[in-house]
Amino acid sequence: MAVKSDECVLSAVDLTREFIVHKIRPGLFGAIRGLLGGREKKRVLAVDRISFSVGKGEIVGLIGPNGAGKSTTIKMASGILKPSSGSIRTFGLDPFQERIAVARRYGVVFGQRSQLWWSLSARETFLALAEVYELEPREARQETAYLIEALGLGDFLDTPVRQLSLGQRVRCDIAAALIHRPEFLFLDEPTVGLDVTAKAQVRSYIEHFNRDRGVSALLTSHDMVDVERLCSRVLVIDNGRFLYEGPLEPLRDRFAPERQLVLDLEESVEGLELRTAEVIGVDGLRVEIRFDSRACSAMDVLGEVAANHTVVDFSVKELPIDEVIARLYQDGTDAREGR
Amino acid sequence: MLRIGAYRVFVHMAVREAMAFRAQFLGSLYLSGLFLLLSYYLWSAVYGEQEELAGIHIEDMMTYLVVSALVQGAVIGGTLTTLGENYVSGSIGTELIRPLSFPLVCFARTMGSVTLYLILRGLPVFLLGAILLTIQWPAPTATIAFLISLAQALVVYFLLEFTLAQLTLFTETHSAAAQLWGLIVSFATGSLIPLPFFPDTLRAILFALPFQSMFYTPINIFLGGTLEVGPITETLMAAGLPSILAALLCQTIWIVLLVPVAAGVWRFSSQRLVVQGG
Repeated sequence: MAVKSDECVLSAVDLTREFIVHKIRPGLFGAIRGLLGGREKKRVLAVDRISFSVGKGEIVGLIGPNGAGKSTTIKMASGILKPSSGSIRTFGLDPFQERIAVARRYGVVFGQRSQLWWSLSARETFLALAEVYELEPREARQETAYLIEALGLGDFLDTPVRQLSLGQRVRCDIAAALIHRPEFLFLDEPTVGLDVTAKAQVRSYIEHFNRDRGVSALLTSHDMVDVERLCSRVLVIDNGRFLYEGPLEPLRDRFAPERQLVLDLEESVEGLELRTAEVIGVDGLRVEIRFDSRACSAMDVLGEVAANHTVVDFSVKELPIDEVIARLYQDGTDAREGR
Repeated sequence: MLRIGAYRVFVHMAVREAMAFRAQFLGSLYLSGLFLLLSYYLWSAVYGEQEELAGIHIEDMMTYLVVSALVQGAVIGGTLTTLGENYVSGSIGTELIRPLSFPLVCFARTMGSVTLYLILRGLPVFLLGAILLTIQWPAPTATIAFLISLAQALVVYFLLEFTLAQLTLFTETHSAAAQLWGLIVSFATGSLIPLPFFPDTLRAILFALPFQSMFYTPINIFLGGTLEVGPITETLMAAGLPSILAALLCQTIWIVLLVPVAAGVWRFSSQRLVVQGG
């Protein structure tokens, strides 16, 4: 039952989950037909033969558009949904068959749905969770004090959860997910709906627990800043299949290798032609140049221009990671539709 | 291993939630009282000049109504609807991430709300009815047997309701299961009409089913075990047990039989469970 330290916290092989979706016929007539003649059934593969693993101490990002299969994957990994086929192991155990043993060792933060009891205050919640997880009173006190301090919950400890702001509630949810000292966290859109400061806070908390306690995590988010800041590796899923698996940075080189170089020159030029790059715009003294980062570096382009002109200032722009991901999703859709 | 401490919070939460809606609670207390009054008038009219109908004396009938009101006060709480809503909305997902058995979480919750309703709704109506209708009080031993039987009735209530709630997974809405459950509680348990009043065939069926354990059995024990009983109790009595003990044991047998049924149905439905929502 013990997991060796070099083993994965989470590993999936050909994990698949199928759903049966009932088609609803449109209109009143359709509704009556549906009632009499049975409904049209459609099989949908929410997750389609995916394989992945999460190592000890690692934070892996699971990203993809809405309906891609992220939540379904998390539900199977946490043991609340049974896979249709393939296998998943959490701490080396089958999470569906041994849900209770597995649930003792992970924590969950759903950004969209709180796991707290609305009428209890944070303080009462921790007492209740200490009972649920059967913590020793001393252990529970220590852990609660640590979390209150680390997450800054002191100001609203005695306010019923229903009266907290979203940012405060998410912090309480994170504390609730950590009170039993889990080895692993499922973070399902933990920053959704938060303002910029609160998002940054939540990220630094997650980073803190990862560094301080070696808690590994599987994180889903639509905010690429979360993923860039926290994840050493990403899994990009769409339509139940992985589009990409690996570190985030190479993704940019692969899907958006072009960079933009913006130069301010001393005197205006006309008809500038370059061997290494393409001039895409001239506006007075400002020149915009696009080049392929795989073929040459920004210094190569700058050198070529500087050989004939005096460069006053320059900046390099790359495609924001959001757009890289958007391009990746679009590629996935195109491939599916045979465009 | 059954770890009681881990489930205590759910008893506590159920009590809190039940107390949160004071106006609703007072309203239902009023309705329970009114319902008892109406049953009193109805059954007085049914009996008319007669002393005895279907083997039940008019005085026993009045006691029957008052004890039934006590149990009704405890169990008419709509926990099946709550359970069904859990499935339909997908909030069951947040229950399943905890290292707890889901059926036991539900049991803890039901016991919390049922105990609260028994004390705050069943008991006042029962006491009022007991004074106004001058009921027959049981002997001390029968009283103890009645209290045990009442506790067992609440366990049977949970087991049956939990089992039926799993229907929600197939109907994808909780109203069908809730309506079916409402019908069963009203007619198959003897809560509104004592089982001896049913026509022969139906009576034979109802006496062979576990639903009687919720109302008819504890009321029969309250009345000293003088009412007609089902085949299991009869067999136990033929074996030499006093009628009260036989009725009590019959209830226990039903619990022993229903636990694996509820566990099995849950095992089956948890495999098919689709936790809705992202």
